[in-house]
Amino acid sequence: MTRAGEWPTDLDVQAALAEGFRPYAFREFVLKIHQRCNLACDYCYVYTMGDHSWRDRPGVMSIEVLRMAAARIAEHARAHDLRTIRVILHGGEPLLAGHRRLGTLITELKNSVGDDRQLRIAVQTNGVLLNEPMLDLFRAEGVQVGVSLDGADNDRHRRYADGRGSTADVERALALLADDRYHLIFAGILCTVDVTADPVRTYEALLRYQPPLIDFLLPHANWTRPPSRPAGAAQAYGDWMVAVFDRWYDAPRRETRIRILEEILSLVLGGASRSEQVGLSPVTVAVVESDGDIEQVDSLKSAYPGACATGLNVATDSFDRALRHPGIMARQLGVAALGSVCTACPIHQWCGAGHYAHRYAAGTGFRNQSVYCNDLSRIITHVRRRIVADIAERTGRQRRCSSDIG
Amino acid sequence: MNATTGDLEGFSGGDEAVPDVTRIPLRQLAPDGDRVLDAAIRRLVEDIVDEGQITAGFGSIP
Repeated sequence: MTRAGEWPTDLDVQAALAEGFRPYAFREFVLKIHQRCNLACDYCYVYTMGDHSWRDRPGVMSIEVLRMAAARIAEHARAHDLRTIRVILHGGEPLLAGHRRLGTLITELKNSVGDDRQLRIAVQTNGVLLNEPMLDLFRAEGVQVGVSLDGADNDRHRRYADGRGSTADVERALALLADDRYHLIFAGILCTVDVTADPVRTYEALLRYQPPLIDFLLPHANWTRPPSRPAGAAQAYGDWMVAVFDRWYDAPRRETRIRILEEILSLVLGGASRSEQVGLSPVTVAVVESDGDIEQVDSLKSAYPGACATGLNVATDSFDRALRHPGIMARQLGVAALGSVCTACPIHQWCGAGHYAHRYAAGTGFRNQSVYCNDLSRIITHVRRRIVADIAERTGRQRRCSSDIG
Repeated sequence: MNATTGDLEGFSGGDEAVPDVTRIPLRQLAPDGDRVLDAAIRRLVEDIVDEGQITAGFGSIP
């Protein structure tokens, strides 16, 4: 749902298509298979930011809705000749669906998509219910597992409703994922940045679990609901990321992957980003809620209630229809979706105005710079400075070698 | 695809210079090292060689 008077409500979809814009097919489908959660994290955009749509939806995605969603995914893949499709089982907490239903969901998905496409399935969980039977199922089905954990200070935000911390339970799950039996299906750890926590200590605490990837996320915030910052620290999140970058980058060998920093590295080196957090690559993610509603990425719930709605449902609508929704098209327009402040900025090709949800301001919508503008500028310019120096050093070394040989 | 084979001339490593993928001999700059920068350059070489459509994804799933 877009709001009157706010961008992209006035985005002229037909005009864009007439001018030659062609939407990018969805490649990633997030299935909200369970609406509830067994944790009560204080920053969660699903439950704590004013959107209560979860209350009106089925607690669990039924097999009928799952079949319709899978059929729509297969239809979309055929129509766009997609070789690989990614499906992420998500919530709420997806493992609340239970072992048996998860097994059925996965089988139904595979049957619907068929063998002529590569279907990559992943589950994003808080880890509390992740035990050996669950992991045996995921290993047998080739399902990748991502776990959310906030590092050494995890219990500050990620608590049960009764106030107990979740760390001990999640650590049990992560110990299993570090085990040889399951490490192949360990996708990584998702960590929401707490700027009051020590960055290097946070990184090193996560490193103990041997994650192949860490995904540091900036807390969802916008111009109407700004992030909390220590007094006088206008780029505290940028400083935090810089400290992590230097610790990670200067290690004698790559200890893990850090998604946002890898994407910034790629951008600075002249490549593109595969993350919605930075860069101008088109976003090709669709969400299917437990009642079959097709939605935009649900982090938009942090902007205002219903912000991710499209009015479409897998029972009646194809994903191609969703590609013509102004909110989805807006995220595929690249630089054309940026406001004038951003396009005048020398690093806009790399920053891309950051995460779309972080650009929101009541009254104007999503065509603003990121509420983390100073932070993104800080980390991007730092990475660039380091890379330019290192590339110069390497090319200089090569020159010297060539000269010695000559 | 001279992105990975271009020569060194014309590339300035000064702080104000933006590394230009079309002018850096990335393949030569990416030895078998195991540091973060090595992996970043290898990824870029792969992206260029594969010429796949790069789109932005969701969450912590690689």
